[in-house]
Amino acid sequence: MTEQTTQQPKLTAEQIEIAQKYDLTPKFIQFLDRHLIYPLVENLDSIYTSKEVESMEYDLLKETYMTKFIKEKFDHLYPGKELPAEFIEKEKAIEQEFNELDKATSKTLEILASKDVQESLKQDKTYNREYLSKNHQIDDAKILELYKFGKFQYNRGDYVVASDLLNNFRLLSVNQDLNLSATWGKISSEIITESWSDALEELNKLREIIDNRHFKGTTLDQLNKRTWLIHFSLFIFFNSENGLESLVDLFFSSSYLSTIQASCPWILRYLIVAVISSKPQLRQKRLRDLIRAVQIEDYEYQDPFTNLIQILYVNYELDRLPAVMKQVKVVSDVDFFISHLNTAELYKNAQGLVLETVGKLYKVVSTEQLKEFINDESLELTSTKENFDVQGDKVLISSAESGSVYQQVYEKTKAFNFKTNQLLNNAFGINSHNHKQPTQEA
Amino acid sequence: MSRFFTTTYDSEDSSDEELLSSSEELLSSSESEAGDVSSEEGSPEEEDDESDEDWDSGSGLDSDSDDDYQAGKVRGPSYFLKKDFKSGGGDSDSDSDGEEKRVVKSAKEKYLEEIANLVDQIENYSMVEDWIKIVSEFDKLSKSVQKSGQFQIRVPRLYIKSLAILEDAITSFQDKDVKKKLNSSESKALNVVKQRVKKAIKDYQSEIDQYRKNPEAYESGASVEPETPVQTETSKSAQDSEGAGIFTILRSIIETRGKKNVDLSEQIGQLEELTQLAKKPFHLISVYLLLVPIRFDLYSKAAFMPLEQWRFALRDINALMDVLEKNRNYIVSETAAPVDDIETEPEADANGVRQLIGSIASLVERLADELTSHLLAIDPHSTEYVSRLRDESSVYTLLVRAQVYYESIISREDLATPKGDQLARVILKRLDYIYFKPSKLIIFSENTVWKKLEESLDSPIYSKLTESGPQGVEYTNGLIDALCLVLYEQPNSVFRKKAVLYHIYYYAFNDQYFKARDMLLLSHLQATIHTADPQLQVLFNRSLVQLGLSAFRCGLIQEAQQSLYEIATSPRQKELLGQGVQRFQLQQSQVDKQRLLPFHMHVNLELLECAFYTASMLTEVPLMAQNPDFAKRRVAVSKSFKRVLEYHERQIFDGPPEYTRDYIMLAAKALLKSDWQKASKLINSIKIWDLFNNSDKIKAMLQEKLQIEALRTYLFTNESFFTKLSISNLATIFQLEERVVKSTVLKMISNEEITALYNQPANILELVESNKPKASKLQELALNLSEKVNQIVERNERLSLGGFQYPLEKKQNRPERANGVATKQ
Repeated sequence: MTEQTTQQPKLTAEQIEIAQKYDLTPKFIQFLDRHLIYPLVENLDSIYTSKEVESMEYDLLKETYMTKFIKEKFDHLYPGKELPAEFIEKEKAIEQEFNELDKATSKTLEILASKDVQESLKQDKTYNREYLSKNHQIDDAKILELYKFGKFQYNRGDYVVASDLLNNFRLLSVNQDLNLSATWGKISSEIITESWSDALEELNKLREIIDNRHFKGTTLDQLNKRTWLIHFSLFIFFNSENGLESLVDLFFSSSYLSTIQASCPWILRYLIVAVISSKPQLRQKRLRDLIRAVQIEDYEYQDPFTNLIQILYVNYELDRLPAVMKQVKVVSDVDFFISHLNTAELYKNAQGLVLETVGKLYKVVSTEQLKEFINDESLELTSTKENFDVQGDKVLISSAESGSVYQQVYEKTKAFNFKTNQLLNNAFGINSHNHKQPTQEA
Repeated sequence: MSRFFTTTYDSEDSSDEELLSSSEELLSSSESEAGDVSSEEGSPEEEDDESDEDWDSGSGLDSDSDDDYQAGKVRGPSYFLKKDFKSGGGDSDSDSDGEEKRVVKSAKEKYLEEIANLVDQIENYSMVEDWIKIVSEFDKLSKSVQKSGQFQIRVPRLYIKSLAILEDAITSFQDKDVKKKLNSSESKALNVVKQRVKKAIKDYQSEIDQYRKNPEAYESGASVEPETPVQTETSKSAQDSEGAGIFTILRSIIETRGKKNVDLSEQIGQLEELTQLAKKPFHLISVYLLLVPIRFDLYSKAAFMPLEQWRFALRDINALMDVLEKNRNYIVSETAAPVDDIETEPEADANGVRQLIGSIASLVERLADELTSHLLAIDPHSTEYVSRLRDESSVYTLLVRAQVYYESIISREDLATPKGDQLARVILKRLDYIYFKPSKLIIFSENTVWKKLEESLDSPIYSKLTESGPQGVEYTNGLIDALCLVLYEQPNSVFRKKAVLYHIYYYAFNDQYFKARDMLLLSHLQATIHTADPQLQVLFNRSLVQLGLSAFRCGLIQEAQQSLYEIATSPRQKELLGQGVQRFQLQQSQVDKQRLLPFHMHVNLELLECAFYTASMLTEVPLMAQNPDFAKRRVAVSKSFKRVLEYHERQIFDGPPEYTRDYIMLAAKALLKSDWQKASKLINSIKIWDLFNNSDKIKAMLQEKLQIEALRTYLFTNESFFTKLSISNLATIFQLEERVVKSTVLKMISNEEITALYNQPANILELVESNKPKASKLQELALNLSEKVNQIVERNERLSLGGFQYPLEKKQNRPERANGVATKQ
């Protein structure tokens, strides 16, 4: 993470202004854990001075138990000043609590780790609980200590241990609420330690609970949980392989799309990025849903990416393209999540969309104008599209011939058979496997 | 005593079965008797009626209690005894006639007697399992129990007891191996009893549990309780004769409530005097709580309440509020425990607060409703209407006052309980007075209200308007949000639905279209509104219309057209908006009247029509130009617009426009010729736009829309005549910026509305001449068909992926079945 940010070239004043304007960190703060916000804030050093960033970091983390870190930051920020008295007290209290919890849980952990216990544990939770309480005196209170210690360790910044503790707790506890909160804790730990596959597993567990038809809380509660989940998931999707595909699937599902529209429209930026990066054959269909979503939220949220979609597919004010494309570039370089991707590739894809639209609407376009559109001076136009024909300072675009009516009807209907079969499979579970087997027997 | 006589007589004279029942009864009824006697303070006549009743039941006489009396008198063995007592009882009644207190007692007694009799009957029948008779008796019993409210007493304990007995009888009957078969009518009766008892038990579950725990104690509880008030009563009346006098009158009035031939105005006079006499807050509150409803009752049959009477009611309620605000240790609440005797002051709770039963909320609601019905009765164009409308502010003040009062006695956590329900009702009424107003007016009325109320008062839900707080629209937004939020927490869905519709209406009316639209979409009301009650439907229609008008003002023509479509084209427009009744309906029912809204809340129908037709014109005319051949029209967006236009075209002479509709139709004709200047002149000369408060902006917006649509129409109609069109030229013709022309044209190209391409260096639109012949009709239809099928497939795909859940069982069974079929082959 840090490597990338340091590599970044210096931004111009204008670019910094753009980046600050479209910085989503303030919006994210209310939906993420302190520890998860930290990397986001750290990433801001390209657009704010290091002093500002550091003071933000200090404010962010001073409530946590990461004493060493806070001390360092404090020294940086206010060199020569004494640490506040309450901080020293707090440090002592933390120390004490750590010792207490450590002592309390060490026995339990030892037992759990011992070989014969490991062997005698089964899948059945109730059995395990009984077994442990009978043979090793691990009762509910002991189990709860694991949770407390896990939370404490997380707060201290020892994420690996925290994740371990919370996992142990979850295996034994039957308290649904605490289990849920332990899962949130675990997913945060996994994200910070960058073990994405584990995090993805936790994410799916959370989804199972939240999307359950018999979700216990109110609808509002569910909405809030989904919003949190969406924000957490960005870390995972933007870092794991094929993550963007899962992101598109998740965010386009009706309940999450309405969550985005209701409580966090800025997530559209990432949805747009994901759609732009998706394979060309999938892109068309997704674009349609995307355009609708962008249009609906237009009054509430605008950023370079939604503007790009608006220009290309809704209002066709192509004159605005050059400016928007510039902003897109800046934002994709600076944004914490997007900068994790291959931004060059992403940008190329965005240019591809522009060229596509231009190709559809224009017959002749000047090279200069086209270069402005895609915000790229050095572009070798000949290589971009096969129907673009460069002649001097103009580009002639040969429009795609629409075939005969017969051809058109054929094109439109040829996939129906396959689609219908797929439909049947989805709806009734008659897969080809089931169909074939009996006939073979016969 | 007499009981002894009866039973012995019974056992001698009756069949075996009856013997069993009566001897059993001896046990049970002696219990019940104990209860009766004690609850009636041991009056002797009571006991006799009892025995009389027993005898009747023994002989299986089936009639109501009056007949029983008769029969008892004639045939009963204790005939003589009884007659003596009865006449004695009657005497005492007549003796005590002068003393009103006595009368009250005996009426209540009579009622309790009746219940006691019925309970005994049921008990008897349940022994012999005569279900048919039990049904009829139980019916009577339930009916009379319902009356218990009239006598200001709790549900008689005897009733609870009978419920318990019946429940036992039913279960034991079912447990028993039934030897004798029931005939059909009997079994039917049994079922009826079962159901009714079940229902009744649900209502009184806690009492029954109490009874079951300890029947004796429960019944004796009945005997203890009535005595205590007597003691307090006497001691109180000794120390406070004034109070006794007041309650004598109050009682006699309560006694006559709901009866015919009572001079209500005389009672009002009496009560008004009492308000002068009464000094103690408890007395004053009691008097007012009786006085105000009687005032309303006086005119319950009339179309509306006369002005001065209404003012009196307002004054009284305000006076009541004064008393309550001054004496914080008295609380009037609907959820207070009902008292047996109105004279007893309720016990103070831990905080020294005494709760009285009563409802400020319904009094205030009623007052507001009376004002509304008066407004409905007055001609809205008269000065009387306007002057009456001024009273709205005093009602609004009272509503706010009541809200503040309820907020002080109901905590935030209690909002979802029946207690909070009262607050919700007041808030709903308050919203009712402000939701249709522009934010400036709301602020105005808020200012007057808080000026009138005492300075120390403030609402915790949403603080009053202050200099430091939010101002203007921000304040009213906050106010409506806060009020609606309370209603959203209510368990009753009617509150929530109404609140969300008020909310939508307010935002739409105050030009916050997107907020209103999102709310409507999130509420999912469209799906269920057709099953709601008419009042709610009217409110929904009103909100929808406001939403459409709001969209129109924002320049969202499509959206405006869609939301207005249904209402604007309906022949029953007035009815749908609660602004009038259907012409052919001769008699207005009460329900119809309730639907109506007073004139000042009406939506201007002409404005609605004007906005709708203008929006239709803007969407429809380019479409008509695009497909001049009507047969090929894809979708008729607005049939009614087309119909009106056609009608207009058939006119031989085109006179100068008179009505709004004429203006629009002429403009539409001009627009068809791409003459935007004429169209815009016509549209802008419509006077009714001035009803929108930013009419200049709206006119400018309309003009721009007209220019763009004219451009589109121009392109559609002249497509075939040109090969090249200069963008800058088009821009000058339609006086649009080149930027706008370009984006409009590009959009048309992209939507395949015109076959053209843009030549950027030359700034020219090149219309592509289609070199191949146009598709034949059949080919076009085939294309359309494939498109439609594609849509179906896509929709199905979406269904199969998520929206539609095929039942799991079938899903699991299905492959097996497929197997089965296949193997058979």
